[in-house]
Amino acid sequence: MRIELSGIEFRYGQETILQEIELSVASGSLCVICGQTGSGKSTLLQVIAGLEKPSAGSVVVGEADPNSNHEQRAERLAKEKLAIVFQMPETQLFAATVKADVEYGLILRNVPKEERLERVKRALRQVGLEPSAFLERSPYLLSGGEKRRVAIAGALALQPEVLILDEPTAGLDPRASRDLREIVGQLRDLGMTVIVSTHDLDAFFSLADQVAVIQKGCVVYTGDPRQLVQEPDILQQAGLDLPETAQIAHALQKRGIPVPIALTVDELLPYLEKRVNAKPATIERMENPAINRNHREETLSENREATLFAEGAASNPPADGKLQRLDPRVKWFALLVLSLAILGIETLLGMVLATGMVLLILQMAGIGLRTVFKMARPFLWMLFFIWIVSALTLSRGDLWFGPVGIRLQGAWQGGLTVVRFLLVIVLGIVFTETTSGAPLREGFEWLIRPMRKAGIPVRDVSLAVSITLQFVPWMAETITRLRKAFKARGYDTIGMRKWTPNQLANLFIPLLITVIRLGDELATAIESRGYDRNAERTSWHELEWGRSDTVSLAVITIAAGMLWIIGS
Amino acid sequence: MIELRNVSYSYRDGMNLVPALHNINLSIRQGEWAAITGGNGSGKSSLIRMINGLLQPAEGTVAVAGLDLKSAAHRAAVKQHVQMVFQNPDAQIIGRNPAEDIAFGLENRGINRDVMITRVEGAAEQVELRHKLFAEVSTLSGGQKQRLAAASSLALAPEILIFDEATSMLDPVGRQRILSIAKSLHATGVTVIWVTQRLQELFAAKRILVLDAGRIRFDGDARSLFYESDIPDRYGWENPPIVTIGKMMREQGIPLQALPLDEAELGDIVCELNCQE
Repeated sequence: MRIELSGIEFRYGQETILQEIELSVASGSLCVICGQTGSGKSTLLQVIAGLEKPSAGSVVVGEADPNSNHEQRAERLAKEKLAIVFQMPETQLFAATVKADVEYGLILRNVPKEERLERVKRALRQVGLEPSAFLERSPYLLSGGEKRRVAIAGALALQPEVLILDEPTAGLDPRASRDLREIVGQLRDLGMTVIVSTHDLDAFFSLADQVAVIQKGCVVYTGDPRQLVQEPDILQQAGLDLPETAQIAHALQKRGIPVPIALTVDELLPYLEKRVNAKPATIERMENPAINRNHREETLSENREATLFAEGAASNPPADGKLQRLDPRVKWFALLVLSLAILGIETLLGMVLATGMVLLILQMAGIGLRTVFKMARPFLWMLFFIWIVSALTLSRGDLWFGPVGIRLQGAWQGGLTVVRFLLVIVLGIVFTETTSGAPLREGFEWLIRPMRKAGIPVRDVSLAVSITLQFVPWMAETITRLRKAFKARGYDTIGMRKWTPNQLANLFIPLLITVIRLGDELATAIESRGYDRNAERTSWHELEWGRSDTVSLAVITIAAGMLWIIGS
Repeated sequence: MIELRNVSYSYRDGMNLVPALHNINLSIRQGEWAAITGGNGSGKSSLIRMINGLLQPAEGTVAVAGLDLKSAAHRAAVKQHVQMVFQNPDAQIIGRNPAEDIAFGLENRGINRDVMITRVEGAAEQVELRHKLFAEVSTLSGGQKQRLAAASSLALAPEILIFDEATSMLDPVGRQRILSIAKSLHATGVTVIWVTQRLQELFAAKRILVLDAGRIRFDGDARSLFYESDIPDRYGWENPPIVTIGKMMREQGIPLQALPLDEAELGDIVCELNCQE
């Protein structure tokens, strides 16, 4: 099944991730997409798979008419004929057995039970896992290479005509990565169209029918890999290394030894054999190879400087907003008293005042409403739900919709509650946005220090609080990644069923495993940097109480008092 | 410098005890560059965690920098001598910006704040992250995060630096940069232990250890690993192209000591033959 991309653009906010992408992949071929981390290749794969909608341009998979308006039909077609396996897919496994995991996508697609087992077995065989030995095993207890093969089997069970693999060999040991490459070659030979993104050119270049090089969101080369390795500049500028054999051939050419720029060592050997054979002399000593090594290292450090220069442009000065500079103890205090005052508000005037105050604080912190919305979004549904529930009644309604009534008093009270919570959430956002790790940790440790006498490990607690807040963006990213992986397996094609406890559990288990693993790794890192809760330590961030802190403390106390009086 | 004598270790997985290391004997001298490789579950991680006192052997003794790691106090103290850069860029940063992360280890050591500032800046400079000292960690690339991890380690001036698959999640440019940071530290006398699954990275080491099922199966240099031992065949490794070429040359009668390990050496051999013609 062929794939045609034309004029693809993809923007994320202000940032252009992909632009003017033209790419066509012939049916039954293996296309390798290569580029540095951040070049846009993963986004490109997701655009091809229909998981991300391009800002402009068209993706045609198979024979669909690009002019048809039946976008949904095209999307459906894409989903059924096309499967994608994400980076490190083993982190997305969730079922208790290999069979259940591979079968998951088939259940979502309503494949009859008797057919499912056959397809699961076939998919496992395709990735070199003997079904009788693996079907009932727990995916979590397999080796890294085996886990990855199970994840790929999950995609193959869908019998796609196009298989997309994002960095399939990353993190695998040499044996597993060799096996995986063989599997990819076999699938292509079976007539499947395979798209692989990688920066491991050694693994896939010799197999590829076509290579596309991505640099900063643009395709800078597409065509025959053999042609590409003749011109090392293209790959080097894209931040990639030539495949090793091609590197050797270029090095030999530079020294005046006539060899072709080959992709496999088998192609190179006959030429070398001829030269070595010409004079089967034994060599006593080599010329000093260190000279050449030094030369290479020099070139490397030049490249480093060039990259550093490029990075310098994106340099980020320390934050210097008014609230950022405030002592964290003032901010902890403000968060506490303002939240209490807001939660006590009962009157409209109080609410208007509090809202104005929070908006003013946002303005002072330099935080845009869009950021607030983005961060508060997970809470909005819950708050909306609370509001609806508090307005509904079955007995004393002011307005009736069938058997259900709405009580205006309830709606008003519920509305107040929702606004109160919302304002407190926004204060929390301001706090975490303006207080970075170390000041937050120091301020918190200061605040809870008296509890040390009660046996509370205050240093551990404050470190835990600051690390938890530090990892909020990481959590959000991980959830997005997992959702996308489930979407790729057909997760969202079933309407409301995506919110069933079963489905949430599927999302929750890999998330939990990822979080536990991260926690474990972090704890190791903390320990290996000599953390000791009892030892004396110094502080990078010293708490310094200035005049502006005293003034702020006074202002906050007055404001909270005012809110309390007016609001109640 | 590093001495492991008859070290065995097992870890608990649910109800079972899984053996991770069997009777390991190993010494690594100050200033060596030793690479450790082996598949998943071969015992690499357990071995290096013995060296910085994160794990304690069930049997045998571990001594590092003159400290016998049997005692808990020594296991805490050994962290002054040994630092590690781990695999996952996301799971080793403590702090919201590089400055805080580099300072974390210095704080734990109770280092004076003025000295701390100099060391934080110096370490950032060494990994070329000076311009990112106050950038939010979430805006750093994977490669930058790994360089930051290296900076946070080297700020503590360790005598031994362990890279635990530190490049496995990076692209070629990121990998090169971590490798060259390690090389420049090694040039100042730091012992480097480089754990990797990438065969290409083994060539940088004078000494290579291959682990399997908790035992050291090979201890020697790259030339004897790839040209003499049966390790590559036994573990199903694909020979790096340079080795395939070298083996062909050996069949033509070129002696082992002259077999190439990189393209510069290969060029020398072929040129030499050419000159003799």
